[in-house]
Amino acid sequence: MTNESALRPSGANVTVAPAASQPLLRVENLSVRFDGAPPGINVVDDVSFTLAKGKTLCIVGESGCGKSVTALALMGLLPTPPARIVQGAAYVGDQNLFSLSERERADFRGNRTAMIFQEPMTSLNPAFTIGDQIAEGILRHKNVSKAQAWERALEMLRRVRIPAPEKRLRAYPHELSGGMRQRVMIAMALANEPQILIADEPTTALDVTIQAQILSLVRRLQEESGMSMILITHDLGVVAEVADEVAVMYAGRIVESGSVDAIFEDPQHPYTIGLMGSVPSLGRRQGRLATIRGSVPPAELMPKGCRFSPRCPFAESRCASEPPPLTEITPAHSARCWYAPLEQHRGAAA
Amino acid sequence: MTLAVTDEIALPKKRNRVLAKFMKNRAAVFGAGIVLFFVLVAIVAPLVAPFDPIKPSFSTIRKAPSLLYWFGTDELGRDVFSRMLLGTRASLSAGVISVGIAIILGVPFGLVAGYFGGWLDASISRATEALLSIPFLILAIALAAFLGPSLTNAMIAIGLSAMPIFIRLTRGQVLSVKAEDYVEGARAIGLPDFWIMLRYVLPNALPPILVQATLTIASAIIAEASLSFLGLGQQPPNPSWGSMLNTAKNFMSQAPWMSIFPGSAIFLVVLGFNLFGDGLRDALDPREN
Repeated sequence: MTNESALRPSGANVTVAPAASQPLLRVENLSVRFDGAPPGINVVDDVSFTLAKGKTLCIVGESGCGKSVTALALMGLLPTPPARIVQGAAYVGDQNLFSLSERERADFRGNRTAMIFQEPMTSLNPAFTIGDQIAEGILRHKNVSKAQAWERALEMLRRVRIPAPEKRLRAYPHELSGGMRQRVMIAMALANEPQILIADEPTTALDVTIQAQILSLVRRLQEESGMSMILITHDLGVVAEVADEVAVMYAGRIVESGSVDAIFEDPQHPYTIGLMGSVPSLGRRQGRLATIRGSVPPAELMPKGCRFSPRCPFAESRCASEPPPLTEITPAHSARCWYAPLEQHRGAAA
Repeated sequence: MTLAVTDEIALPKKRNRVLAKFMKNRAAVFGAGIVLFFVLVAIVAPLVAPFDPIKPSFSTIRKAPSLLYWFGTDELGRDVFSRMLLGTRASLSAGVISVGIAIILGVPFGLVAGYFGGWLDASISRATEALLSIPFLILAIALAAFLGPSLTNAMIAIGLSAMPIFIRLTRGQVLSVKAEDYVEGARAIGLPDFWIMLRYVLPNALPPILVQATLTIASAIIAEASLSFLGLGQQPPNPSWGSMLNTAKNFMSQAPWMSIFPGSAIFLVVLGFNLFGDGLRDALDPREN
């Protein structure tokens, strides 16, 4: 392995090993606004979270809740205009991603932070071979020869368990199935050994058996490399399987966050409780599957207070006018609700 | 190895699919045949021309078609068949070179406008629209008259007149390709803009541009004939189909063969390029199967 040292992240990144308690990524008060939205209504509003080394944070929420926008903001891929980061910071070590120049951001992308997308069928360039595309990303960030980059691409295809990798290296995207393409996307994303992988609904477009394969592949690769992952999903089954930490988003705000056990065993926010209740499960069910009434209000009708209040079965007048603070329930679990912690307010609320 | 990979399916190669689809289209193959035929004629013209196409021969003025002079002779006694063979070169190269100029200038402008957007796009697009508001042939005539009469200048004039179509087409293609996931994927691995433009956007925006190019070659050949007809293209004594028609118009009733044969050649080659272009468009269109 002569090329091993060249493929590692550059020296500076290795030496700044954060202390065990210090998170790898710290997002503080991130707000993203789209031009033309009513004043004060941000698609992502005051979002804060941390990501520890080697851990997985799942961001859960329905379509349009701002989870993908959060991911794109972290990658520096927001389409500007119309989207703008109006406040907030994202620290990797003590470097604020949002204060870097566009050039420095590009050096980060695909190198220290990488992303995989929802649609494997359309995420590869149809005009070039798989090997070309994986090697391209390596050549962009590492000082290696073309031959070394292809060697590395081959190794990555092996690591993502693609059969006959030598042959696939020379294949065009349309010659591969969806599951295979998602493996290629993962190989591309991990080729430069990023510290943080952002996966935006990586299994949504795949059928169920392939979903399980891809999830366990990602989890195994994460164990091998020790990277941290932000997994964006609306599938609570996926969350239960891979998450260490969970952040539940609703209409641009994190309404509840905590360890996966805390969220699943003791959900505090009425929205989280509603989500849990609306998951179909095997076995008998009594009556209809529970749903959350109504839909997310359009931006101009968003209440000033808690954004979930129009749909919340427990809402009272205060909820619509005053935004609830983030209340700590345990040190690793907090919820943005006037009633949190629930036990102190209503006994049998759920 | 705990994971069994079962999701493997083999699809036929895309290029073969396009070719197979093209070959199934009879009109397209016919068009391609015509184009190929004229290209061959242009290449071998000086070798097979039975008479000198330039030198006048006053003993054989305006002879009707015969076994000796297949397409007859013109007002200076030159063999129309030989002149047409040589004229193929002028017409085809005028078509190909002027469209080449239009693509070389138009595609980069369209690429930049579509990719970067903003004021760059606004200024390029407005300028393009201004050019497009002038009819193609009128613009070509004005430019050719401005540059001075010669075949080279006619090609430049036609190329510049055809350029706005390519700017507009490229820009539109780029706008749609730019929204593809793989372009965002390329940004997500940190690739620089110019690299994404050249490797991700351009190759995937190209097929409709190629189709437009074949169709525009047909109009460019007509434009060259028109300019030559007006005396702004190929200069005498060198032959081109358009300039042959120009002189033939004076002898329409006495020597109709002087206009019938060059006119038919223009008709045929334009038909060929149009059929070829249509076939190419259908073959490259993934929706039709």
